[in-house]
Parts: sequence; structure tokens; C-alpha cells
Amino acid sequence: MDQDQSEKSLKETLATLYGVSSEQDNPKEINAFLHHASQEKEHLMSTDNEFNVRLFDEAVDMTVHRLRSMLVEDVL
Amino acid sequence: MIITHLRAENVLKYARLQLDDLPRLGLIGISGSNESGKSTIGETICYALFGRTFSLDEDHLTKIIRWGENACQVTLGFVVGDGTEYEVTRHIDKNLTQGARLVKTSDPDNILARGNDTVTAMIQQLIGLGYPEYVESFYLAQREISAPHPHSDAVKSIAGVLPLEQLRDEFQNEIERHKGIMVEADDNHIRLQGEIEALGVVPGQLEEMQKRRGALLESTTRCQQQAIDLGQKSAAYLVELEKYKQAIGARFRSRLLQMAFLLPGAVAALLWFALAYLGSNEMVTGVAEQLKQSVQLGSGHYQYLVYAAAGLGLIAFILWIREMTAKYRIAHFSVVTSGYLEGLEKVQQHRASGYDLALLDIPASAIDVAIDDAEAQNLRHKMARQQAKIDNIREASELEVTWLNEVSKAESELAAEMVEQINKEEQRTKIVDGLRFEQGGHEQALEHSNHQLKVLKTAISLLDGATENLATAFNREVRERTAQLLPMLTQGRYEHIKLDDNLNVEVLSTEKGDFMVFDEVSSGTQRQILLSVRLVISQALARDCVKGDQFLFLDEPFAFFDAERTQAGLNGLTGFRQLPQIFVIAQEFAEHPQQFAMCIEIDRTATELIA
Repeated sequence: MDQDQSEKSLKETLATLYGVSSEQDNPKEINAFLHHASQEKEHLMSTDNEFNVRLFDEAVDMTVHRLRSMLVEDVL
Repeated sequence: MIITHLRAENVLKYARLQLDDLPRLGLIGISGSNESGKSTIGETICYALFGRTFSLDEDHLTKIIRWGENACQVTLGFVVGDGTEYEVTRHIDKNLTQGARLVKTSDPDNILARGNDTVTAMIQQLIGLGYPEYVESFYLAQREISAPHPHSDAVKSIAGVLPLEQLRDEFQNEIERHKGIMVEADDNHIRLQGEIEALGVVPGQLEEMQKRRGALLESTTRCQQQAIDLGQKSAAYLVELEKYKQAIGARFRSRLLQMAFLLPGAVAALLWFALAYLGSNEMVTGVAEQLKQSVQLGSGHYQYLVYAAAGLGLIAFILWIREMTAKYRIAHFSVVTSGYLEGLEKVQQHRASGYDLALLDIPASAIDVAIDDAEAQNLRHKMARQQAKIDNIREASELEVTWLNEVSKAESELAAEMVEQINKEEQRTKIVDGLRFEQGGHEQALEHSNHQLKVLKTAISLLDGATENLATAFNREVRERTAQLLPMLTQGRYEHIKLDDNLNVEVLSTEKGDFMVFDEVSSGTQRQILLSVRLVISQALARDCVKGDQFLFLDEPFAFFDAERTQAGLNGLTGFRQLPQIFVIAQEFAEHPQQFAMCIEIDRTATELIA
């Protein structure tokens, strides 16, 4: 039950922050990265007044794009 | 993948090897004495799948050919996750000439891939792993069981860390590339700045020069206009001055003559009036008598007095008109004088302002025209009172006009000289603009790379965090699953292990009630623990990377186990999800035949193995 709630929370977080869902059948590496990124973003947003959200999101988008190219598109 | 059959000719020990209808579920025991050819089966499977064996890489592959033969051939049948059965065939001769092909067993004439590398790549795609992952997991060669290397690509790939680390390396390379770009951009920026400074273009100088030339041209025109204007006014003044003098005389004479004619006319009119209407008056009678005697003007001629009065009055009127004309000329002269004085004063003020000399950047003495300002002012006052001499007026006017013309000429010449200077400055400014544009490009590159550096560093930091999380999760999973398997292999003597990031092991002894450093336990127990770890990693790889069920090949995993531990080990091997087919090699399994789906006993002297 707790695990289900945790997964649901992760999906909601990813969908909110990056517009993606783990239901998209992302490789586990991408999901792990997005999960860590979302946690890090929440942490920095609440603790770092000078946190640059745009730069952070750009880094996340770039990394996810590159990981997807590496893990999904290469296979395809 | 699950192996269905294996056929080979002239491979290592065997002239012929044929294992058909291999069970897809359960343990397949392969037993025999030393050097009977048990490990050859595992080597042959490895060669069929990846074009190399555990002990022979591509450069030494000819050693796989049976002693005394020129070539060998291997055929392996296997089933992948979607249930499709494939057959791969490879052959090699003494000249290292190799061939390979991959077909579906159901359609052997349709070759899906041909050639060693192509076949290997396609098999990797079909089964979901390559040689490094295979030997780190599903294939335990005949060797000392060692802990999986935590930094091997295979283990990283299983843990999901490998792509993150590969991307991290790519990002790190990009950071170095951007640093290089920044250094180059900075160098170029400094070089261009040096070139710009060497050109010595002062910002705004061109505009200042253009402005100054415009002012010179404007002033030239103004001076020329003033010179013409003053010349015309001067000439007009002098002409009007002559007329003025004539008008003064004419006015005086007209007034005098008016009196001379108007007075007798009035007397004649009075006489006529008295004689005509006051004839009874004694004094009038006396006057009439006197007129008659002196000018013989009798009563019949009195009308001539009227004519005389009218004639004299008419003349006086004409003289009055003439006086008025003279007065008009005098007044007009006053206007002309005012205009001239005004023009003269304007020129003198203009000169006194020093604007032109400042524009020319020359002292007053550079203009070779000597004008005494005090004298000029004095002359103006005299002119206002019509007391100035014509020569003085003419001379003063000519001096001012000459000054204006000299200044105008100097300004015009300087404006002409400045055209070339401005052209040169425009050229230099254009060069500087081009250099600054180039500088701007380098600044943009610098800014872009600086931004990318920040993005890449953030990305690397996140990748490191995600990598750590994945590694931790992987270690936890290995630890937990090993903890489930370990009691089965060790008859409950050891239940828990600790794994650090480097996969170093500590084990909890149930008997001692404490964690023991790995080196403190017996070598047999070490092998049991490491076998557990390997099996767990194999299971994780099968779950995450392999499509469908997967075989496992263990070459003498119980080499140093006693009978009790061997039994425990065999018990522990069964029941793995996704690892249903397990090949196990041992010296003998005589005591445990009931646990195997298939047993293959090998005779050391036999050159053929058919089962």
C-alpha cells in the first residue's frame, strides 16, 4: 500500500515538474534520474533563495533528452 | 534465452558434440573426471553466441579447433522471450577465416544475419546482453569464484548506473570543450581589443568631425551671405547718402521759395479783397489811388490782383510738393542708414563673438585684416548722426567684407581638407565596427559556453545523485536477495550480509551472533556467499535486461564444497524465477540424480558426446 502511494506520488511529482509520467514506460535510469531531480528541485526551492529554476530545468531536460537518445532511440 | 540444442564438430576435445532436446526447465548436470571436456560445452555455447570464448579472445580463436583438424563448426539453438526459436552457426579455420549466420529454426533458408560481427550484434539485440554482461552473470567459468567487480560495465549496467556514468563522461568532455571555447573566445576577444586600440579610434570623434565640418560649411555660407549683404547695404547707403545731401538742400530751398511766393500772393489777395469790397474806406481809397498812379492799376484791372495771387499760390504749392519729396528722401535715407548700421553691427558682433576663429581653431591674427573695433564703433555712432565721412564708411565696409571673405575662404578650405580626414576616419571606424562585431560574436560564444558550463555542472551533479541512489538501491536489492538465498546455501549458518559501494562483503554469523569480515570465514563459505551474490546479480540482470527466461551456466560452482554443502547448493539453485534452465558442471552427481532434469556423464577418453 505504501509502495503504491509512493509510486503514485512519484508519478504526480514527475508529471507536475517535468510534464512526464513514469507510465510512459521510461527506462529505469530515466525514472531514477527524474525522481532524484524532482526531490533535489523541491529541496533547493525551499532552501536556496538564489536557486535558478530555469537553469535547473534546462539541465534536467537536456539530461533526459540525452538519456532517452542513449537508452530508447538507440535500441529503436 | 533458453538453449534448445547444441551441435559442434572439431571443437576443442570433441570431434563431434551433439546435445539435442535439452530440457527448458530444471538443472542439467554435466559430470566427468578432470579433462573429460565438461568445460568445452560452456566454451562452445559462449563461442556460438559471441564469437569468442571465456579463455580465447578473437585473436587466439584458432585454438578452439580440435587438435589435428583444419576447421570447426558450432550450431546452437535457442529460444528468446517471445517464444521464437533461432539457430546460430559459426565456423572458423586455421587461417582465421570465419563465418556465421543466424536463422529462425522454423525458416532455416531465410538467413537473418550473416558474418561474425553482424550475427553477434543481432544476438545481443535478441537476448538483451553482450559478452561482458554474460561472463559477469550467467556464465560462471571454471575458475575461482570471485566477487563481481563493482566497477565493471556489466555490474554497472545491471544496476542502471552505466548509462548515467557514460552520460556524465560525455558531459565532462563537453565541459572541457566549452572551457576550451571560452579560453579561445577570451584570447580572440583580447586580440581584437588590441587591434581596436591600435587603430586609435576615439569614440564619437567621427561624429565630432562631421559636426565640425557641417558647422564650417554653414558658417562659410553665413559669412558669404553677410559679406554680400553688407556690400549691398554699403553701396545702397553710399548712393542714398548722395541723395540725402541733395534732399537736404532741396528742402531748404523749397521752404525759402515758398515764403518768397506765398507772401506776395497773400498781399495781392488782400489788396483785391479790400479794393473790391472795402472801396468806401478812406485808407483803401488812398491805396487805390497810389496803385493807379504808380502801376497804373485802375479799378477796371483789379482782377489781375486775383490772377497774381492765384499764380503765386500755385508756385508755392509746387514748392511744397518738392519739399515733401525731399523730406521723403531724407526719411528713406534714415531707414537705409538703420539697415546698414544694423548689418554692420551684426557683422561686427559676429566677428567679436570669435565663433569662426574658434571653429577654425586659429588666433585672430591669422586673418590678415586689421579692424579697430573701437574705431568701427565710433564710426557707427557718427553714421547714426550722419557725421561720418564717405571714405571712412567705404573703408570700414570694405574691411568687414574682406574679413568675412577671408574667414569664409579659410573655413571652406578647412572643410575641404576635412573631407579626406573624415573619409579616413570613416574607414577606421568601419574597421573598428567590424572588429567589435567579431568581438560581439566571441562575447556571445563566451556567454553561451559559460551558461552551458553551469547547465552541465548542474546535470553532472544530478547524475551523480541519481547514480548514487541507483547504486544504493542495487546494493540493497543484492543484499536483501542474498540474505534470502544465503541461509539455503549455508544451512542457516549465515543469514545476512553487508555490501558496501564496492561490493565488499561482511557476513552475519548466526552462531557467533556478529558480522564477520569476509576474510574471517572459511574459503568454502566464501564461495557459498559469492555464489549467492552472483546468482542474485544474475537474477537482477535477467529481470531488467533479458527478455524472457534465461539459462545459467555454472562450471564447477561446488568445486571445494563438501557433500553437505553441494547438496545445499543444488537445493539453492532451484526455484529461480526467470532462470529456469541451469547447467551445472561437477566431477560427479552420483548422490543426487533425482534433482536433475537431465544428467550428462562424460567419458574422458571419448571424442564424441551425443546426448
